[in-house]
Amino acid sequence: MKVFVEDNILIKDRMCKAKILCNFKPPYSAAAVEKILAAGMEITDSQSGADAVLGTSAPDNMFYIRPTYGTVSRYGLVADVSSMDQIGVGASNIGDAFAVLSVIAGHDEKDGTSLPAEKYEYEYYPYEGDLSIYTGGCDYLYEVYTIIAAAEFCNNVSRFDGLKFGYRAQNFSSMDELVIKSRSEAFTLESKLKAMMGAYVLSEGQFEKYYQKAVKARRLIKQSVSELFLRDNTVIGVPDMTISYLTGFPALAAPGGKIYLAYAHKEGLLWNTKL
Amino acid sequence: MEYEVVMGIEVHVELATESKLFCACSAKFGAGANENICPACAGMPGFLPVLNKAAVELAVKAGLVTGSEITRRITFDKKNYFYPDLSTGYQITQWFSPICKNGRVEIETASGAKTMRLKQIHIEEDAGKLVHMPHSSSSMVDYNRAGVPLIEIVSAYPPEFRTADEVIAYLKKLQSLLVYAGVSDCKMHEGSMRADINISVRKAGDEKLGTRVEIKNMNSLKAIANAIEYESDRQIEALETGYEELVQETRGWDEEKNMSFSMRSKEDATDYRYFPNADVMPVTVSAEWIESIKSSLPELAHEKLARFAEQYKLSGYDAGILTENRRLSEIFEETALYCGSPKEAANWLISGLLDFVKEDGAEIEDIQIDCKKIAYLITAVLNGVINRPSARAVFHKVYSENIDPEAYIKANNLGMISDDGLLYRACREAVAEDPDGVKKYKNGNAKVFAAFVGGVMRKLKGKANPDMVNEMIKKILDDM
Repeated sequence: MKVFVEDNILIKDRMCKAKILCNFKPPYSAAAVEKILAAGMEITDSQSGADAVLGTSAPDNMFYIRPTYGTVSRYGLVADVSSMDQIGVGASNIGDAFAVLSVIAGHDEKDGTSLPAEKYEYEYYPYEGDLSIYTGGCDYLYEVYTIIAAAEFCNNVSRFDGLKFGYRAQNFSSMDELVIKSRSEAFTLESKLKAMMGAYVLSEGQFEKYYQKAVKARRLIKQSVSELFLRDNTVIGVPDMTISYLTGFPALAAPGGKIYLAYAHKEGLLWNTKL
Repeated sequence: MEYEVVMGIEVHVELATESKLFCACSAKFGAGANENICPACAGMPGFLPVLNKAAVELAVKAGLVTGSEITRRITFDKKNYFYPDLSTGYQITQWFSPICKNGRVEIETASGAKTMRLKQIHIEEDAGKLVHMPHSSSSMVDYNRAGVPLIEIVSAYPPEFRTADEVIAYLKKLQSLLVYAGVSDCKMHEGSMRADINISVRKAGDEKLGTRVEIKNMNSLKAIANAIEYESDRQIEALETGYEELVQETRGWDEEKNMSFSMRSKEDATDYRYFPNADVMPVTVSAEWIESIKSSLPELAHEKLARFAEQYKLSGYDAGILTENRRLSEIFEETALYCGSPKEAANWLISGLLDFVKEDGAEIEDIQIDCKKIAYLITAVLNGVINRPSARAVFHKVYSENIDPEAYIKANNLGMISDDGLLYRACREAVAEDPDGVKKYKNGNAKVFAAFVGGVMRKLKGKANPDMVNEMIKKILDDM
């Protein structure tokens, strides 16, 4: 099996593509990468010939499984939104995706949020029940996601300053100037906007209005999704990954853009989740 | 006009864990620059914090010895600020659920006993250190200290300290409690205990607090006492004369110039944007866990004080001095055991060892001394082998050079002279050489007596048996 590993999952000595990390040569590999190699799978540097893809977002035209938050170690994953980051597996064949996931899932003591189960055996059961689309019972789903994601992103990228590793601007006359120039030149506009929004929603006076409210709403969304699962003991369909990000429940994306959230199923588990 | 000084204290104490708070690197002091670091300490991406449970246990111990309430479910938060000694751009701390609340520390000063209340104790990680290169505009950063576990002990608000004596007594008491409990070695000179003092002054009787100034960078109790004196004088003078307007600010302490200087004002204050750290799961501190930590606490200073007074028949004062510091109390017990005379051991340590340490500017925690050697000297004096002044000199050699006292006394011929004939001759000479003194003595001036004894000691190089000399001189003078 050939596995392609996205840029934000570190492989020892593989340079990162992101400009801010341009000259950073990781001295270690992500836990998931180590497991892939230990299982005798091959890591390929091009996505086109790969049987499976490790990453945090769904690749086009593939099945993509994002398992329960905490199932795959985040050790060696460049943090974006710590409370949502979860390595998932994409593959053209859903069986391959589950096979790779079975290899990389399991407890890792280097990740404090890693779930305790040592090993997961994933099995795919075709589901033939109803699939209604659910939006978490919250009108502000995307706002809640955006606020929390921006806040955590802003904090996580604060380590990229041009001082220790990564991109460093030329021609500076003070430390502040070095940091400002390095960040201005290396971060994308999207990243800058996200970081600015993150700093704003955490700042004095705004924290209660935005961040704290979003966290409360997130808790309610998680509660309502959990209740739904408990009541119906079924699989629910969702329009995109947002509910999975916010709740930590697993999600599966099918090539046509169909995404559904899976939990327990009457005839057996759609896949084995531990929450 | 009478003024009242009002102070609050934040004390940072490094926890005595083997490894850092969130990674496996050594937390020990004194390694070469950047020897105790890993990619996590350097802020590299992909690393996740894994909480060191030993740090939580030590923080609980700190809570137990200060009578604090222990929080049963603790969480960790991120404090954002930019400074190169902070590799990630944020510090992991406890903002929303500190591990201990509402503790207290009993202190005693010349003006009596007082209970100082604590607002909270929380766990956090230390930052690295910037080293400014001489003859250059650049600075180097050493991340050895980055991630070393700390607790911050925050005194109650509104602030309750009124005098420098109270502050010093409080810091000493904290030091004693925490060192005994094994929470920290609390060495101010190595930075494992650091204090920031908030200080303001107001007219006596006023309710409203004055403009508050925070003083940082004081690394000894003496510096703290000096800084409080300087800063309260500065503030009172500013209020009295109006020459200087007091502003809320952070000031540093310059030990050499003995003055405080402005570091940053309130306007420059950072918005730390505290928020929960999603990488560290909440930790439940169960009743069973607290109970097992409690049962692992060693005998504390006040318990030891009571036992010393009872078991060794020491005065409360002596027992207090000997138990103020855990290392000293251990040296005492070992010495008392070997020499069999606790009272003598207490005297030798209080007015011998403590003097040496003080003269040296050393810390008693760092003292390595063979208690058997002290015990040998004590016994030698009791058995008349050597007199006290000579023994003290040998004791100092034991302290500073770890000599073998028995061999040293022999080699340097320091044994006490108790030979009747030799002593008698020396006494006669001393008296004969000072006819003026004899006259004075005969006229009732008893003070000159000591001069005769001193004369004999000089002749015999300080080795004369003092009891015998006293007796002989008295007899010689009285017979004249």
